[in-house]
Amino acid sequence: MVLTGRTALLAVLCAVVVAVAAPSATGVAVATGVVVVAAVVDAVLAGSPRSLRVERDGEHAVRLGEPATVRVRVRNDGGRRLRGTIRDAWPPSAGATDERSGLDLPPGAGTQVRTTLVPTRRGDRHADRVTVRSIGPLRLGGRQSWHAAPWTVRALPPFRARRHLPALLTRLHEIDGRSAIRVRGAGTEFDSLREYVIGDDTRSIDWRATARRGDVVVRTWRPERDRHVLIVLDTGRTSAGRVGDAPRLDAAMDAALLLAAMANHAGDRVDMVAYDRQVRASVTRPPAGATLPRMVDALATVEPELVETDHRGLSAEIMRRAGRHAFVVVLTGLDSAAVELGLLPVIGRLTHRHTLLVASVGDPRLEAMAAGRGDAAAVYGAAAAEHDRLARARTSWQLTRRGAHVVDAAPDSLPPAVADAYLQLKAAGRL
Amino acid sequence: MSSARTSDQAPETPAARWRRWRGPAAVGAVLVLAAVVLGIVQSSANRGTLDPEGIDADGARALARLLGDQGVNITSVRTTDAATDAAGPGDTVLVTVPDLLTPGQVDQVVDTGARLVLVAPQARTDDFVPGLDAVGAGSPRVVEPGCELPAAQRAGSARLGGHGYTGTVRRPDGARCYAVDGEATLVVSSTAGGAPVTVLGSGAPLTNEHLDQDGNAALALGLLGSTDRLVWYRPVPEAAAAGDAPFTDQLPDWVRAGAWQLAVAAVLAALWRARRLGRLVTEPLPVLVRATEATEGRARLYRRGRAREHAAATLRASAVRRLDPTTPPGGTPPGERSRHSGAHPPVPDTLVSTLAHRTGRPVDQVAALLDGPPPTDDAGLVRLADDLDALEKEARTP
Repeated sequence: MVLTGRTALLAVLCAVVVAVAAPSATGVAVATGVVVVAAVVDAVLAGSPRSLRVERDGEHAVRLGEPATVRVRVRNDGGRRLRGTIRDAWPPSAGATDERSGLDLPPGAGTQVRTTLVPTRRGDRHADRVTVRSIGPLRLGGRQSWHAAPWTVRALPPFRARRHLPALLTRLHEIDGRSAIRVRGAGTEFDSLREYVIGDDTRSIDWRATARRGDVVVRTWRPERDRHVLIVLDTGRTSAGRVGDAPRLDAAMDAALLLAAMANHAGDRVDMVAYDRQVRASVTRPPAGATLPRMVDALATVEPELVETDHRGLSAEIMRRAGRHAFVVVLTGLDSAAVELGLLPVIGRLTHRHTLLVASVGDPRLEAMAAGRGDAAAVYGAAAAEHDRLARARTSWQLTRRGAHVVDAAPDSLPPAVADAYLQLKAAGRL
Repeated sequence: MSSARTSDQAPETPAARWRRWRGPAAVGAVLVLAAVVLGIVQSSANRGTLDPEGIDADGARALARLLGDQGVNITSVRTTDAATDAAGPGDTVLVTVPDLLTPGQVDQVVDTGARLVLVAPQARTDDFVPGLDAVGAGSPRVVEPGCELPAAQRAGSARLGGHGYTGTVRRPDGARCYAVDGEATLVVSSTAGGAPVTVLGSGAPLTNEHLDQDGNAALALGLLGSTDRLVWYRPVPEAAAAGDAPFTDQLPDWVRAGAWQLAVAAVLAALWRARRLGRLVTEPLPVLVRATEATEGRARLYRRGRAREHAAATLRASAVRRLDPTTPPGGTPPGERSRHSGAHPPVPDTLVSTLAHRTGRPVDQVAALLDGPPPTDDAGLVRLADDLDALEKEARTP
């Protein structure tokens, strides 16, 4: 049973009538009785909201920041006309803009209600109940009930770094020998012979083939293919820190996705694991072409955990997943004592077998603080920031000394920086 | 995420705060000003009207003193309860504003059986003295008594007017005196209980302003000084006492019925608005902390602890690292405390001499800058940071 604004309005009008015609307690009682009875009768006459059949369809997944449409199909199975309001409820971060809409369904009729979602956070958004309010013919009263209509929309990582992809792929192709090669030594595996074009390195001329063909022929090299790239995301507490407007983990995901896209194009096999004290997400041996969708899907629900990362476990996990030599990229935070106490002791085992790249999301605010001058507060801030930068530099140096490669960059520049490091290592044949 | 966003907002500038609050502040100021002005106007209008302690023109301190000198015991009261407690048969009760009393209060005062002196009653005249009604009379002026009342005879001409009273005088020794425009402005009659009542058309003869003129003082003393005790009752509007009929009884029926019906409407409106279209949807929010939170905390700790020595050593070490990137960064791992600048690696002599050569500064100066004693105050620390910046800049641009 619900009331409408008209009920209250009617009661106000009754106040005038009572004051003029029957200024007594009886008059008030009679007027109130009339209003209430009218509302109740109206509610009884309203179409039953329970007899509405509710179904859903629509999109299951959407990139963060883009709109998704979910439809609710309703059908009036009752014997009375159903007039009123329907609300398709979603959690706030689903970003539903038009949850409510009007309904006017004769018996047997159906319609569909669209809800547009623009999720504001990554992860699964579960639809709440669909509530139907049916208002009677006098619009004085009505009935309300809800239907469970489960639906989940997964907000995928936005992968904003994909704008870097075309430029990086061009460089990959240069290394790959598909474009004109300007530098020698791009790759180590012999690929094919082709005619010399101006600009080729004269050192790559294959004289024997040239003699045989009577034309100048150069050897082309291609980088190693079918290498194993293992991307490891640290989802421990350091990944929860907000840099700019998003947690570190989001930047790390962007970097992971860009690297995976690159490696895919380069013909390498990509695996991914998100780990803090246990495996949070994992992509192992994805079918060809499905690497990125799998990763995006797996990463969608990964959130930073407020626990200290178990680096020993992390190292064991890497060893388990990459039996023979692999290119291991660990996306973590450098500014933590945890790296020195946790990662350094186990790094020897990793670099012994694998090529290890440690990538960390830096904070531009730290640079801004370090540049602070002018008054005591700013200079103390600068000293504190320099303290952290020295610690990062020291950690980075210690990692480098133990054979790891280190990339430390701001969230925006981390994905291309990691991809650059990958290309360099690939060009140098060190994957 | 929303909580993180609110904490992220830029602090409000004073100008913005002023813009936001000036509207409500202006409204508040106007309200306060209006209240003060009204209060002043009200108090200046009402305070001291026949106040036994009032020394302004409308006050009656002169009369109170005069009565006191005559041996009259004056009790000044403001409430009906106090008046009825203080007064009994044989006393005189002066009611300065009888119209402020409700019929119930009038009955209480009348029931004391005391002599009553009423100053300019209008609507309540009939409640005090059945059969007597107030009519308009000319503004107060000096008039002759024109009656047999001894007090009036003794006083002679007095300043009276304002209201006149018509109706039966229910007392053998009753009187109608001081006619203004043909209406008696001083009437002596009796209450329903038989106690004598003197009704004055105006308080003018009792005021400080007019007491010393004509026969005003003699009239006032004659009216108020005839008994040993005088209860000087200046009524204030009183809330209905317990047991009294509530004020709603005095409302017309249609107002009451309409109000009840409106209350019903309000309840219905509340029920209408209170019903949600489906429940609230909740969700867990992620914990988001700024990545530099710890760094900012350390900066505040430095500052509070005046850790100039440590801050200077850190600034120097980072400058050295930037000037000479080949030296491996050393120092203690984070977590270990060391207050001495020796926590950082010593500055290589070659770096000092190279810098001196490049910048043209004396070697001693460069060495003091990079490895000197810590600054003694915050200003020195700020200066050190600027000096290090200058040195770096010079070293980079030969």
